[in-house]
Amino acid sequence: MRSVARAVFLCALGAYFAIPMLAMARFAFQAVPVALLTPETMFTGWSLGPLISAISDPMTLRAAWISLTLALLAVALNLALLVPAAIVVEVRAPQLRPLLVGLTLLPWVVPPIALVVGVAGTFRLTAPWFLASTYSLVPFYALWALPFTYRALDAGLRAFNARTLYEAARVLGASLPVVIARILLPNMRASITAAGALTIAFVFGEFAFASLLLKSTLPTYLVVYQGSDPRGGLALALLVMVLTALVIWLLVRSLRRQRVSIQPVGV
Amino acid sequence: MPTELGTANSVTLSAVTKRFGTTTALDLFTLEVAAGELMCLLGPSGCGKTTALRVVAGFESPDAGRVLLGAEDITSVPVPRRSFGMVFQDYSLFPNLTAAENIEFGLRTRGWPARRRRSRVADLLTVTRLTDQAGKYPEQMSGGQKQRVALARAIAPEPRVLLLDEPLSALDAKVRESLREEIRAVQRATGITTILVTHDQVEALAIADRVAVMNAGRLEQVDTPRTLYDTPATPFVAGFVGTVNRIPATGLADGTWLVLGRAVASARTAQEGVSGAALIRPEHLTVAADQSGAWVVSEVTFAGPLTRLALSADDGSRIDADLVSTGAVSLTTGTRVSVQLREDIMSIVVGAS
Repeated sequence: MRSVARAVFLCALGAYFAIPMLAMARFAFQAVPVALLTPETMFTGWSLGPLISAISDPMTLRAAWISLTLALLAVALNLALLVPAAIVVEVRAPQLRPLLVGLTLLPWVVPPIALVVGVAGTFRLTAPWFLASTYSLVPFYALWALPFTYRALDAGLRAFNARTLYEAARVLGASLPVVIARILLPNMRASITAAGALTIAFVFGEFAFASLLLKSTLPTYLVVYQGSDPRGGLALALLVMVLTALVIWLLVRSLRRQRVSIQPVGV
Repeated sequence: MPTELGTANSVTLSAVTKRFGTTTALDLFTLEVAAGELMCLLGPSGCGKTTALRVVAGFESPDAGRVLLGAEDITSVPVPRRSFGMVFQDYSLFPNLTAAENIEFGLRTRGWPARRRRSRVADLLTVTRLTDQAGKYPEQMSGGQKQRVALARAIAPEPRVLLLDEPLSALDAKVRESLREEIRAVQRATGITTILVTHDQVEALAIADRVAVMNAGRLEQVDTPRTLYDTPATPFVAGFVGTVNRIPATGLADGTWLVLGRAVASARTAQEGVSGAALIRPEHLTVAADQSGAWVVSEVTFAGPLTRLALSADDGSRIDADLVSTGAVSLTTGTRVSVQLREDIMSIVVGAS
């Protein structure tokens, strides 16, 4: 009885995600209006044309390149801020954990519009060149990803008992940098990869910041492109989604192969 | 190889107090561990034994008091500079390093040249019978093997003091016993000053030169296992180390106590007519079938060489007696018996009744 209920629930959940995507795919790749769909026309008019013309547009590639650059920079900044903080809180100053938990949740308490208006107002007066640059998005993305990434790193640190390993290494004469380089970072590979993958996925889907700061990233470009070519826009959106999922899946799989497990991440 | 410096590697905790918030983990705790000795810190959980070990290791800094290594005050020396070795309860092997690399870790941080490192690691792998595990990662090894690697890792850099924090409690009984012997053998062979924390009194009695029994952040008694067992200083020690019966005792005019019809001396001198409770070990009682006896056998537990009898009196009080099994065959459940204190018992512990 319970397994039947579970199967029904999972099917409903799957349908909830799959049906819109299938509908998107049909709209993007089949040139037959819904009103004319009959069993005879079901398999006619399918073509990858809209997708091919969308990705062969140099503007698309440019937007994708910008988003990729932003994603990698955001990952770097996010990890540079968070990895040392997470390590220090775990092994040296556990009493500061609540503070770090609170701080890393802060980005979600402040709505993007408030953050952008506040930051833009400040920088417009002091450093207008910062807002003019596309890269002004990097700090926003790095901060906005904190709630995900901190939890991934924290779960990772706890999973291998970082604090006792730190103590064991200390008794053996290791300085903090040596403990971090030889013991902690190698064992955090899985959680660091997970944190990076989450940040990349987030940057490739983020619209609010880019739009408010008038930057052309892949998500904002998609919206514009869809205005001129609805089918090509949707095809492109599907492609981005599939590629993001694929990248994350490959990362997880490569870690599995190294016998490193990704811990469930609780927010 | 006992140290040439004599007492250079003794460890002294001098009036150490450590509080965590409102709880006092160590309360003016003083203990001297002689160079080359294996000292067990024994006590129930929360008695402060682990805190004492962590203070010695340098992970906790005491609120008051000092820690000495030989004559040197090391209270504020950072952990990496104390040149101690430590084994943890949960192995704490570095999961990203092989057994050999784990053992080598402390040699690298202490700057040993590569050739010496290799021969030291090879030696220790031989001593701990781990040569065929050298290239394995911790997750590929059993609990016993992991803890042997941890032991080898701890002693590899030739530390001045070895600290063992419940090293055997995560292992199953059989492995625990053999590793206990192994720790003892390694400790004897190297003559390294060792402090072992445990809540298991059997382990403490079996392995230690001396045992320090702790209770509520204080030292109750420190003595050889034998003395601790035979002449416990306090009712707490008597109750914690081994099993004891509390048997009513009455003071006699000559200062001895009357227990089960025999007059016996105690450190606490009796006054006539005062009543107390004598703490008597189950194996210090003799039991004989007796129609008019005051006790009835209520339970028989056979444990190989010894048989434990649970006896109950008409007033509901209960005591345990251990007999050599061959002498207990006829004492089945329901047998009425009389109980006496064995004749070779010269002194007992009397506490407040």
